[in-house]
Amino acid sequence: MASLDDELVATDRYPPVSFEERMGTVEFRVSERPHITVDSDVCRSCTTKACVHACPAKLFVPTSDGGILFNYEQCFECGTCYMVCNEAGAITWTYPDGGDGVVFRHG
Amino acid sequence: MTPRDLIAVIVTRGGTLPTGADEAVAEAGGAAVVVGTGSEDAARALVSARTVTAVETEPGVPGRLAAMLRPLIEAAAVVLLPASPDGRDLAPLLAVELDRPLFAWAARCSPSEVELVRLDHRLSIRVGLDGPAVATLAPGARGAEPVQEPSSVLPRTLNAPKERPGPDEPGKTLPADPATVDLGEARRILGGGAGLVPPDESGAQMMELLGDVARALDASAGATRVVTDAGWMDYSRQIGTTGVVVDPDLYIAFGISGAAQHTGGLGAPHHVVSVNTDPSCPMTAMADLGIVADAPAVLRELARRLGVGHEKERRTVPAALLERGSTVANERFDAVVVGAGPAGSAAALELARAGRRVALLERGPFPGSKNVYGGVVYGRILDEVVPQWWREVPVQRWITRRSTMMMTPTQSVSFDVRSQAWGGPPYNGMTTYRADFDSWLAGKAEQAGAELITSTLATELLRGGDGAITGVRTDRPDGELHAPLVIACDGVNSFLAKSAGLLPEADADHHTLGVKETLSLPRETIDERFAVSGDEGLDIEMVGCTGPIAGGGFLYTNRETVSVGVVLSLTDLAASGRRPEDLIADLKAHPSIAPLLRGAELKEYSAHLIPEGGYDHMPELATEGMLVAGDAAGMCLAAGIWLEGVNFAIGSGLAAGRTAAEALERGDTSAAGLARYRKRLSESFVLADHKRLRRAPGFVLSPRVQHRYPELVCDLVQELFTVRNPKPKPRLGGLLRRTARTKASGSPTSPATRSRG
Repeated sequence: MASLDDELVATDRYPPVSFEERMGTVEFRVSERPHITVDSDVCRSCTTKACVHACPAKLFVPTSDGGILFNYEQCFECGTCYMVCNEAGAITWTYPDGGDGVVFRHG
Repeated sequence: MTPRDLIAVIVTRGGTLPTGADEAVAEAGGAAVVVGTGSEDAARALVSARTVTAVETEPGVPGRLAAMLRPLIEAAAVVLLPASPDGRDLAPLLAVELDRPLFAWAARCSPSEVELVRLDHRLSIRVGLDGPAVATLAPGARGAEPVQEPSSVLPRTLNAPKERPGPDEPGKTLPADPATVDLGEARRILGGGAGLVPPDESGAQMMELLGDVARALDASAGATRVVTDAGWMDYSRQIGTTGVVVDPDLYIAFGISGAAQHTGGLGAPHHVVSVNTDPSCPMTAMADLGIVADAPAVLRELARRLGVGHEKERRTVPAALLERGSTVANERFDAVVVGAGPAGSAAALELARAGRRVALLERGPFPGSKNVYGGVVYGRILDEVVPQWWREVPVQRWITRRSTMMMTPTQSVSFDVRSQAWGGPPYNGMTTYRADFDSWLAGKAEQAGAELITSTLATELLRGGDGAITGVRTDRPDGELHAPLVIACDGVNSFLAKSAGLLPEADADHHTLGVKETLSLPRETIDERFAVSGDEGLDIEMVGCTGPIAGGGFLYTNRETVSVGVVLSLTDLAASGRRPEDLIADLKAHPSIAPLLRGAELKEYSAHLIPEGGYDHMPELATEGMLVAGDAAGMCLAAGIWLEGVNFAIGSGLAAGRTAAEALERGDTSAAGLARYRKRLSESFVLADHKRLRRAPGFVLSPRVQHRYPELVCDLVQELFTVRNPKPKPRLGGLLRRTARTKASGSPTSPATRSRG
């Protein structure tokens, strides 16, 4: 079955859109104040680091020393990261200031 | 008058001369008939006339007018009319009345020859005349020179003619739309030049904004040749010696330097305002008011203040809130509604209708800017917002076809329903973008009197000495808004409900993540691929398409885009190690979906959480001084074949607004005083539907529904239609048992371990 899957992928895949291009379709009014903060010391003890793959905007990147590097600029403000976070207090998440952040046109 | 003469016929309304009137009179050598209301005034206003007959009459039916004018004009070799709207109306009727050929859009005209312009003045055609004719003259083609001696004006009254064929009633006369009115007749004009288009920005968009601002000021938009040559505005809007000659009362020039070719077409405006960074440019030099500033910035600010254009930001902010750094501590409202989504706007609307002063806070730059949904609104609840809402709601397509699809990676079985009854009032489902829909609904609340304050975040609840909620603090300087009642419609992450202790801080088990791609496809392609036409649309809900993660897929058609995406259980997503956009990619590659989307381009990627706990996981809906509605209250129905949210948000918002108005009337905004809210919801579809389907969320996300049923159904149907000759067809009963047994045995399909295919 794996070969059939591969075949489907080969014929019906769309022109690949890079993640940067994907995020380039979204308007962000970047705030000066980060609305997400991550306590990397807490993250070091986390075994799952679900935020890394669950965040639809790929804002969380694991570092070699077991911590988490994060961005806040291109955040959808969905809340997935703190909902899936294992470790209480690792991710502090609020809304950006009024008028800042994501602006959806086709939501 | 000899047969070698020309005569101009000018239709006037209220004494105003149409564009090109003087040119037509000049081309006719100064002989004219002015007909209409205020005809004598209009006749005297002609600068190129020598002898004018003024016929006072209601414009009325052009056919009768033609018959009435016949005796005055039939001796002339050529009857010439300016190609103004009235002129173009009357000319063919005069041609019929006089039994002459009509030559439209002439640049020059004589008894023996008429020169016609075609293709935007690029082609000239000369036609020899061997008999009398009627012609219309293109405005701006020749200009008009004033004659020295004053003209003689002869007022005439003409008898209405006998019955004429043609319509008896005149067509309706509508006030001109400033956006399309002939620039030559516009009283106020906003002109755009190259300086209005910042580098790397879309000139067409800036000109569109100029048009929006102009409309708000009851003015018309025009442009310089640079702008029209670039294709940012139509040539008909070009002001200047090679474009339209205008004569407005007010001319506001945005980023126009004022080259002679432009100002030569300006006439003598009473007031000229020039916005330009260069204080010494000719335009500013000739202006009554020069604003030395960046033209695009001034225009954007103007748009913002007028509440037009794409950014309807801070539209009706109380004056105190507009002043930077000023205190708003004295702003008192009867109620503060937080969140201008469907729930908040509905709540604010009800309160405003009850005569209450209500603030509607929105943290985004405009309502809907933070919101994402699958794509279908079920609109019947809007009956309570505005009658015949379907006439004005910003709709993409009306859903007349819906499909439920069960899938495995290589199979699918669909249940497909079409009903044309859903394609007419009162309709059923519609696709729309939230930026459009939410802005429209918030606009309804504003019309009712609610004060919408955008780009403003409610940061915390204010409490009185007794602990009751007394307002919210905002992120504006000293931005406290006081009210005896707060309605929290601040969405799925509701920080207000959380800070009031009504919702848990984080609850991954009862939330799903929706990720969506909006993909553009030509309208005709959507019509063909999805077998819909006109403004009809399709929605497809899918199950079994999210791999190891419990959830589902969706595909909705908009006018020129389709929305496709997946909804994912947060706990499964966290455990799976898969990325959301990869799961959309898998769905898009499915053999049943891929051909539908071939060639589609990504327009926007978006994501949002969905509260899926249902009835059993809703928070307390009322506390001291606060009500909760919409997603903040978990009022989203995710029950398999029913996926609804916006209607529940509106329904709960209306109920919250009504309860709040009653509570304010009684002066009791305590939790007990607000208890009627829950009762009201229980009696309506909002809680009744949720209660009836309280077990649905758990069932829909169970491994049975997610994997076993789709596989079972797909395999069963596949076997049913696989012809295995020479073997005979299997009995249905036996097939059912056999398929069920195959699927039931084998390793139990747990979501996390199930392999694809």
